[in-house]
Amino acid sequence: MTDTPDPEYRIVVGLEVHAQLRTRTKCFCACAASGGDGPNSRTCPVCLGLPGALPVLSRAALDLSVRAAVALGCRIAQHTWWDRKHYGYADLPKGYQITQHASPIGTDGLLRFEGGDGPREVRIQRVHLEEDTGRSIHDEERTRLAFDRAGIALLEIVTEPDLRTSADVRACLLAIRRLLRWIGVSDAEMEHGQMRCEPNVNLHIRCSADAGTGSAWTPTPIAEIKNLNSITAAARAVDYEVARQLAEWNATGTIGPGPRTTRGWSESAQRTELQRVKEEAADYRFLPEPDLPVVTCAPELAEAARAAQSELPDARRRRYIDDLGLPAEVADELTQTLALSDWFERAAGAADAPRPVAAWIVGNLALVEAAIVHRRFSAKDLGKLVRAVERGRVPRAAARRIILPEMARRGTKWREIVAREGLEMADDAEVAAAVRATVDAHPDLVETARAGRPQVLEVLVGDVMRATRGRADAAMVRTLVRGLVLGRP
Amino acid sequence: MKPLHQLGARRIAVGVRAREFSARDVTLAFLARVRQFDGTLRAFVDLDDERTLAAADQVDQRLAEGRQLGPLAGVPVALKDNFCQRGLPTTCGSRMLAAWHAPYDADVVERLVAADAVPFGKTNMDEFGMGSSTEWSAFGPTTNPWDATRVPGGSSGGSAAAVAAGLVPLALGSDTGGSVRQPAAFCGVFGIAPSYGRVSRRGLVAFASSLDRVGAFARQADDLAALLRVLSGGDARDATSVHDAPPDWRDDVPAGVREVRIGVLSIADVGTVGSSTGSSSTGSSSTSGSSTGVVPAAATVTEKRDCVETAVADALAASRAALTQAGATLRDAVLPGAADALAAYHLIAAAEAASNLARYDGVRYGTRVAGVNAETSARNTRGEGFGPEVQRRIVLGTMALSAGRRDALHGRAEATRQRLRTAFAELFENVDVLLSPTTPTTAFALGTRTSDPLRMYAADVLTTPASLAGLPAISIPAGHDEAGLPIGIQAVAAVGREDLLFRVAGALERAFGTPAIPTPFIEAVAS
Ligand SMILES: [Zn+2]
Repeated sequence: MTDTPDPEYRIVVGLEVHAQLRTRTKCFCACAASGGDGPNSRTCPVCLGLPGALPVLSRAALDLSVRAAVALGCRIAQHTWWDRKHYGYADLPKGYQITQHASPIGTDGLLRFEGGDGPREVRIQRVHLEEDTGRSIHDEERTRLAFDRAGIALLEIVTEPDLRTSADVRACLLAIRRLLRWIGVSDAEMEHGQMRCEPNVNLHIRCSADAGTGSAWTPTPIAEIKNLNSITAAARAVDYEVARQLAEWNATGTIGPGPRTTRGWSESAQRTELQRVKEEAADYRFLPEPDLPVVTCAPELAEAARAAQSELPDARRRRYIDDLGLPAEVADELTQTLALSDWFERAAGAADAPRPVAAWIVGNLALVEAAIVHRRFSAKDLGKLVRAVERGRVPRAAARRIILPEMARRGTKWREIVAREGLEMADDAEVAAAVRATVDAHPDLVETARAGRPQVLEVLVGDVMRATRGRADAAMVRTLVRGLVLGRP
Repeated sequence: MKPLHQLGARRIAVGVRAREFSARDVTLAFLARVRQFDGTLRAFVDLDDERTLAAADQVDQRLAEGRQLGPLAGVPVALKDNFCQRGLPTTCGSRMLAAWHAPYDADVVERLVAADAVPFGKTNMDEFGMGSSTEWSAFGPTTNPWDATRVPGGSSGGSAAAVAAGLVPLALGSDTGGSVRQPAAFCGVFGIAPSYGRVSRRGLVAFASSLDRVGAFARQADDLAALLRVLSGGDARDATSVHDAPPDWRDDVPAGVREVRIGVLSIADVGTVGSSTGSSSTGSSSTSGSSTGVVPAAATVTEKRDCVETAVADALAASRAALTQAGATLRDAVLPGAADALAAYHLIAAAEAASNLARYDGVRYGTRVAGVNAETSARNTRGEGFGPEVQRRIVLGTMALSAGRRDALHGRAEATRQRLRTAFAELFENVDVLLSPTTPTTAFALGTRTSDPLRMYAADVLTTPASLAGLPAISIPAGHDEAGLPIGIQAVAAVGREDLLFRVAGALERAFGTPAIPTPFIEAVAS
């Protein structure tokens, strides 16, 4: 390539994440947060912003926000209140959004997660509770407004710009999503609009002119990326934006931060497109919301949330690796949801053998997840089955091919299946008899083996296993066959 | 028996319950009064005979069914036109809402109906409550029943005038900076702004949310006490409402003022005839000095206020004498920071008003002026839909919250408010009630202040301190000036102490007499 080589640079990304809280009602009125019967069916004077209507804070939304702030390691505000953020848009029914500007519920938190190639930390700048806006539905002739989302409780999480690769952006978003689901504050389905994220991306480029000083990092203008509908899209958009900013730098050599821009991700074009340039920060004329009293109970709620909080996924994952000796991928898999992880722990307890149980669960994840949902069999059932297999009382193959599928399908107890199908392990005499009968039935193979090709005896081992319907231990059968045919193991 | 319209509200309720007359009879009598006099007064902006009679018939029906009727059985109650009543226009005196019909009932409307009152039309007001004369109504001014060339005060001028003229026995108003007390004083009736949170604001269209209070008018103190008790109580759908059970203040009206400690506001704090005004020149007015055109207008309000008229000062002295006579302990009192209240009030109220009125963008509520895009349509709609005073306050309020000015304007105004709260708290360690005139002057002539906003604002100089502190305050009729115009005396108490206000109101009502329905006005209309 004849182009100038890329300068030394580092990627700087911070995230703004919005998650819909799992509350039955909206944030400030009694309307249902989900369901409904067509546009504007889930509305009332409050969320429509009608004259004279007043907001009343949902206690559940406050509880969940505090729970999230605690799980993100935040400092909890002694006094927290809401602010009106003013801007004009037709789907903003009051001409302002009720949000938290000056006193977020949580600040100064920390999230640990497993990055692209090792453990990472991202500082959490703030966690606050706000309301969603309505939606404008544009078609060729007109714009229609739907206020079903207006007033829905949203948790906003803002990280510090601590992320350095798109792989880390992806991992961080996955970790946030997993955490929010783990603690039960949000379903966080991005495709259902329950979670949205807006990365702020720029580069810090080492200026060649100042290379001698060794500390001349110059930032490129920050781009805020919107319209991301999946975590994959977020990582791709970051990659795209890094390349774009680098190319712009190389082309223009512009130095200095410049105005912030808002860029939209186009899924079809797989690129970000300029939406607007913020020459100066918009003036939202924040006003403390006079209709809502200051909340002073957040520290007490946080105390209760801390007491009720189960071990968080990252800590649990590390414990699985360090204390239980699970492989990292298995530990990852088992800590995707609190339900699965708790289920694993109950099964491991019943089996008294965490590693085999973990392998069974990860190897049969679809069956297990269905079992958790439909309650076909319990964690204890699986644990006892694994223990029986590990202790050589139930054939491994039969457990996998016959017993577990039936447990999942019909909810039958594994002991019943074993008894009905006669699947308990064959005793030594039965195995010995089966070996003898099989060897006697194949003189040709016996001769071939004795002639120097002992590998053909595997056919006989297979026949014995079939004859015992898997109820024999294959290694033992192999030893017996070899001993009988070759006179040695 | 006196004609029905001369009866007090409690007397009407007793008569309806005793089947002495029906709720329909009562409503018909007052509808006849409105038909006779409201052409001159223009207190009502919406009053439908059929609907009102239907409401009265329901009360009679309930009585016929043998049900126990509520405390306001068959009593007509007028609503200021910023209260939502399901299916009725709620204009707030604005073109912007001229076509809007409220789809729900205000909390106070539900309570009135539950008390078997008869909702009796909507009354005129300054647009969105911004004004002190009811001249800023988009539907024309209301006149003062004591002198048709004078204003009734505002912004609840329609309600005050209607009660004073005997067109309705009771009415609701809203008081943000004095919008109940000041027109009560100008029209010669009782008007109360209860403690902030005592009455739910749900369904009261917001002007300045942290200051807005539902208030009430009556011609007798005990009627006012009965009405306020019906209106009061916690509302789960107003997070700022207070869930204390309201006491029965009717017992306080005759209780007397023996051993009540009353501080009389030093008139020097307001400025008397001939004295130079106020302390703002000493630098305590924190917001002056900006070079913009609007802000000093509010900041210097205190420098342009009226002096207290002699007749008003005399009425205060007479009240003081009457209360001393009745056994109260009276002393002079000062309220440090009172001089800054008016400017702070205007900044806070304007900031919240700009916010509350942001929703009127032409997309909903009927009034829409076209534009090349949504933004210009909103601007055009607001330019035509809002009157000049509302636009002035929006400009001021927008500025008060703008980046760079926020701390110096809104922030300092809130600090003034905090200091004032402290000053009141200290004052109420030594006195139970603070007494002052409600207004420095009696009702001014129509058209004399609309072109001079600062003089208009000055009418609220004595009422805004209690507004900023959220304290209960009442205006009590205390005689007339030489021109026959009513004078109001204001009593302020600590939060939750409306009982003291009713005790003072009862004592002064016994001293000055229950206000009469103005004969000069009636004669003028009749001739
Ligand atoms: Zn709603």
